[in-house]
Amino acid sequence: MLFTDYVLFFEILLFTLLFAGCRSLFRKEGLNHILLLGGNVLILTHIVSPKSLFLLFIVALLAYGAGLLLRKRHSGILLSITLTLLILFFAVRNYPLVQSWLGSWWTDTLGKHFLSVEKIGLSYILFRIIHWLVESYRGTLRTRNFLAYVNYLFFFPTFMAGPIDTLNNFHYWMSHTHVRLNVRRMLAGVGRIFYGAVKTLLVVPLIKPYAVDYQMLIPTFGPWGAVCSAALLYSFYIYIDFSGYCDIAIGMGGMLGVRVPENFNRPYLSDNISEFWKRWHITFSTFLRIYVFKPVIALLNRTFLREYRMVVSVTAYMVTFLVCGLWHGSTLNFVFWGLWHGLGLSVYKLFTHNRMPKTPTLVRKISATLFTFLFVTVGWVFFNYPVDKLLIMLKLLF
Amino acid sequence: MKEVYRLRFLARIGVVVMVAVAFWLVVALFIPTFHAPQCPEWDGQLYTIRHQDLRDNNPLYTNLLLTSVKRNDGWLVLGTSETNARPNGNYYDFLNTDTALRCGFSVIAGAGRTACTYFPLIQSNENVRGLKVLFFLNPSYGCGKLAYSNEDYFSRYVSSAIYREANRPVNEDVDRILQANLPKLNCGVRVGEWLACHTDRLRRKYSQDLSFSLDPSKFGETLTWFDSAMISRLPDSCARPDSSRYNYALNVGASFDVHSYTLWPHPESSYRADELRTMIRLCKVRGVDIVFIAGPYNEIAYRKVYPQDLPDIQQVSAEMLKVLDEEGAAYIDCTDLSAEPGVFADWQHHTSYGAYRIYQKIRDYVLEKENR
Repeated sequence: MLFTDYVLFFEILLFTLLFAGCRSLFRKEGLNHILLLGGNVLILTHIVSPKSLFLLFIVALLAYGAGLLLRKRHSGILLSITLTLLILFFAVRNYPLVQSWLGSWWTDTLGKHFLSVEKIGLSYILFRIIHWLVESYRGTLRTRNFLAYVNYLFFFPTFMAGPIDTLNNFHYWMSHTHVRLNVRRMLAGVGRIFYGAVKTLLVVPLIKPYAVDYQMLIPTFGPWGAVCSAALLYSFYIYIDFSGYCDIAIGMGGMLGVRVPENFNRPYLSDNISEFWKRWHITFSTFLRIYVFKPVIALLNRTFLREYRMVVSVTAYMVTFLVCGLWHGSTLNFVFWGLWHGLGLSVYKLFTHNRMPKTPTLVRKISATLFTFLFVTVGWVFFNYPVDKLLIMLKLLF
Repeated sequence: MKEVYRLRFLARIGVVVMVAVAFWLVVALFIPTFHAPQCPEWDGQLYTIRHQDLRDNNPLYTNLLLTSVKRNDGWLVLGTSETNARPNGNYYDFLNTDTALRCGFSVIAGAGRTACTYFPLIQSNENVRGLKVLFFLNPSYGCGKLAYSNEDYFSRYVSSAIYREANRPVNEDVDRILQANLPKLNCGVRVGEWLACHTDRLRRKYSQDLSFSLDPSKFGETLTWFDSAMISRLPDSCARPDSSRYNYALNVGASFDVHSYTLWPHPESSYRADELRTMIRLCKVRGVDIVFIAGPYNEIAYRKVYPQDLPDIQQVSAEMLKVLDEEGAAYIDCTDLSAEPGVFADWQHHTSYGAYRIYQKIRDYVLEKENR
């Protein structure tokens, strides 16, 4: 959460007002970027250590150089090497298993510098860097301005948990100096932050204790009732908490004049799992679709499997959601969660393959929506509890 | 549902929020300050006040604490982590159960709560005049990073904004040391704390002044008086720890690992001496009747485990006594307990037996002072 303490809250508030004032007075893009960079550094040093920020800046600098090279030379090998190095960096930092593979020589030498990079916001920086590298290679980026790139990576409203913006969108809003930060946009930002604050500070504390631990509900509902109620509450808790955070990030972005993309679109009203992933954590699922799912499909289509379209799709779903699960956490339960969704999407694909979509009746629509919600809720059980706790829960139930 | 996320609707919500904030700010200006009512049930002595109220120098609570201690001819005990509650009683618990002493001992304690953290209270509050204070000096604060200005501890107990606000000129000598004792906080932290301090005051207009004015009994619920039930449960005396639970060879609890220690003595640092000197002078200027308790150090453990550091910790302890002597401060010397078996639970905290031995010394002092 951004408003972790008074000092940070006031710094954000003062900076936002100062930045908004400067943007409407001086319509120079460069000046705005310099000011925003100062604000990003000032605010992020409250969230991560200066050393961590500095090391991330070095990584960003190297990636910037690689991006410029990719734009010029269009080398697939260079892209593969930089992406592998980046993912290795992320894996080494985040997964104790990978650290143990590297052995003690690593921890005694480079490892201690790697481990001093804090985990907060790391994966989102990684996404943005991957976006920069791949899109530089593809030549779709409309800017290569270093300040725009750094501000895009370290934009404080979205630093910790997204939404994952694109550089083109960020650049569009930052460069549109003729778009005055009008009062309405600022006020809308305040309104959006208010929504987020109500969700995260008022609603979440009410349901979180029961949502994250079914044991608190056992005395009232018994084992089955407790597990089911906690699972249902967890579905609402995770949605309200995350969408509340996104409301704050989007509102703050709006106050700074950057329209941050939406991350949720009433996901629990989806009537199938494919629809759910188009409405849940939209920027992340879009990222997975562009940078994991489609490349896997393209890769498999180059093999003998191209004849078996269903096999290709199912494999791509499973790989994508395995990556999705592993990204969410280093423990086995996240793998299960990812595979659960991969399986769900594969089954959905099998059923809908080559069928003309029918206009659903109201009853069918409601049933499908309920079924999708229940499917997602079961998935959250894997997400919430580590394997040992899942086993205890199963023993309790059966 | 989608309608509520439209720009126009959000802007309206924004207007409502801004108007509500403005209204909240303006109304706060007209809420009168709440004062503790004068009534017989609040004539007793407060046991302690909440950490946050002391940090914010909240006059409602600090005034009540100080006046209640003075009104009941009691003492205010100030100390660091050794003065925190102990399961079998700490020295002030024994003092409070002692029927020969006809006064109460209120307590404020916490790790790192050294003299520096009380400067705003002593400087800004007129009620400190004539207050009787017992101040525990733990020689551990001459060791490790504790021997120097510690920003973490300082910020835990003191807001730099309140520190600066309370920092009225006392005299040239004291002012100089006060400035030197203020940790070097960066500009961002100082600005943030200044804003936080003023927002807190604004918030208190509602959570305290308005709320307590409407229902004074709510104020009573926030106060911590002496709990007679707790005091009656405490023993009158305390024997040495049982040898099955105590390592007499090293003079620490059986489960304590002496090698986990990392606080090496730093006799070369003058920070604590300066801080103590400032406290003594400040108390003199402000009319506080302060008596220091020169705490012991675990001499037996030093002698056995780190004999090379024994001269240094002895020097730290001696320096503390030297400052007290030079400044003509009243003190109770407990350093002779340093080599007494059973007194320490670890390197820097005493056992309940140690607390009992400290209590005996304080008791003698207080009785003698009362008889004088």
